[in-house]
Amino acid sequence: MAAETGTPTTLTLKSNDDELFSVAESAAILSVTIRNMVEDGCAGGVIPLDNVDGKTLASVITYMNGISAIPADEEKKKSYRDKFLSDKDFETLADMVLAANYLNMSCLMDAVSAKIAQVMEKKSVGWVRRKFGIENDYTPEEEAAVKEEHKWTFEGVETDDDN
Amino acid sequence: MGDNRRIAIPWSDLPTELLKEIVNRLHTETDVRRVRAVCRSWRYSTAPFKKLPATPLNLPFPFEGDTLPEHDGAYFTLIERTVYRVEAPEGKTPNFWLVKTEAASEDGKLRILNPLSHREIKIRPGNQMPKVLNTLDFRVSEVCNSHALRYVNPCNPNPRNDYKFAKKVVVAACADNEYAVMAIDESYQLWYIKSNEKNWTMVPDYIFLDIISCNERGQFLGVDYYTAVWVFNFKLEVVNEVAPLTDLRLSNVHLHSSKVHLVEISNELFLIEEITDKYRRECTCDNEEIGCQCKTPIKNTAVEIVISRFDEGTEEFVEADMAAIGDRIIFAGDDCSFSVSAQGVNGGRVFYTDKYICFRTGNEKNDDDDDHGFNYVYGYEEVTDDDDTDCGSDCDELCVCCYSASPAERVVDDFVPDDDVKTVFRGLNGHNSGVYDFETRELGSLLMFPHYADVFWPPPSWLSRRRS
Repeated sequence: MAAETGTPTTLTLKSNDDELFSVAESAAILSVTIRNMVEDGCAGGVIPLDNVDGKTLASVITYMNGISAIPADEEKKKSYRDKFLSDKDFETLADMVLAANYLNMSCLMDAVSAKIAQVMEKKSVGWVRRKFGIENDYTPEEEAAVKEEHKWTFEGVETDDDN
Repeated sequence: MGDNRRIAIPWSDLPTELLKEIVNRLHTETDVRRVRAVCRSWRYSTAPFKKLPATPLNLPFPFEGDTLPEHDGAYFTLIERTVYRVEAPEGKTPNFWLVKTEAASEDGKLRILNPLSHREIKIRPGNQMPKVLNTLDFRVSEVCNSHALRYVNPCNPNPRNDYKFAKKVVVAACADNEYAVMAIDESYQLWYIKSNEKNWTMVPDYIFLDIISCNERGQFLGVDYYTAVWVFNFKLEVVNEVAPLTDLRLSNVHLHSSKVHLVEISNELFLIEEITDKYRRECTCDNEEIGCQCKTPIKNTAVEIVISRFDEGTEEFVEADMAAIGDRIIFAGDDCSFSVSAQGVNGGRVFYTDKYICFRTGNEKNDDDDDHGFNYVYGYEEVTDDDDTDCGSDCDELCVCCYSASPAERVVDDFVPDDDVKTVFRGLNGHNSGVYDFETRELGSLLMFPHYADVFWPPPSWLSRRRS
């Protein structure tokens, strides 16, 4: 466990593409996954993180260091999170949400999920499909059900545009 | 690094629990419905948006005490309305269309309402409007939800009473499937009821002119007769009653306004006030002994719209920086107020309702259930057909000397709309709707400035995509 005095304990994390990262234990244990490993005494050597690649892990460690340097002030932490995510491109967000989930970091998870939700807001279905690279894979029956759900039928419209 | 990086999983294969996390952070039914339309895996791993409280919801009538025999068996039904913004296909104008709808029947049909009031819009053959709109073809977002308490009397139905007893209604979903409803009654008292409660409770001894629900703050915000802002959390505890205004001009505000609306614009709180001619008249009679010699009736019409911003630091309303909201279109409506970004359409306007406008346009019918506003007083013309209309608490303050009209009022009084404009606006049911341009400071009936309404009326031709 971390020494109470003297030099802070440092952990070595290994990404799934074999990059090694040093990080202060006090920052790394923001991840419940890592904290459990530390508490189980598995942190002596290198901690392998099989589901996170080096680029994403580097980014997550930046976040761990940044957020743990802020004292208990939720406003400041929130503004750090906003700033941290503001320059992340859309593809990175997917990696981040997976990493935050795997590492069990609820505060990062919340922030990334909200950011992705924001991308989806107030858009057309076609836009969301293009942005997220998703094919419309509905069966004709499902497609009809979806259409039905999105149909506005107005009462009392006297219109002559159907002929 | 990077070369041997695995390819990120496609979004459609996002683990179910992560997609749920994301969808939980969407705030509107429309956004969630859209996610569920994207692909099979997204559809089947997420649940439809759950509204709380589900509407229609029956609530007790009246707010307090015993009912008169004529109200036997009557109750309130809470109904929900949604204002949508539909973006135009590229290159079409106007850039967007605003539409307020409510459920018309259990079969899912929608009724279109005037964005400023409870009134239903009649779409006529001249308006290019499809009977069915496939919203998958458009980019649609929710601007706001609003609620109303419709009076239902099975024994003695009368559509004129529909919205007579509750002037403004707001709703909030709280944690644990609970909700709270707040309502301002016809005598401007504020009431609330929570889920599982059988009776309404009054916020005592205050006259409330408006109440809004701010989901982001988790608060209801009310404004009372003295323009003090009241803050209630969604558990309906008073969090903070802010001191009344100190600024001289604004501190007299309640004496000048017939209607006061709170509206949130970009997370800031604004107050929109309609100043009526009652306080802008110019008396030419200075001899009170012989009485008034200039018997021009008071119309109770809005002659000025004043916009103030709530300063969180000083907890006071201060003069709004109009340039900062110059790209907004503000709707100060009877059942809800909201604002939208103008984006390519001329901003800097406020749409409002003004009972008197129906007199100005002359030919439109005059309904008694129009909301007159708080400081409504009887002018000569109105006494005959409005004698059962609520006029606020200070009818007695009516100046017996002077009924002279201000120059501003004479201008609007003399306005007669063109016949073709009247034809276009016939279906809108907007004869009591007005618009204020805060750059030119002009205001008046929508029919005076018909092009200002183009974001909601008439329906844009691009809605009808004829099948080829």
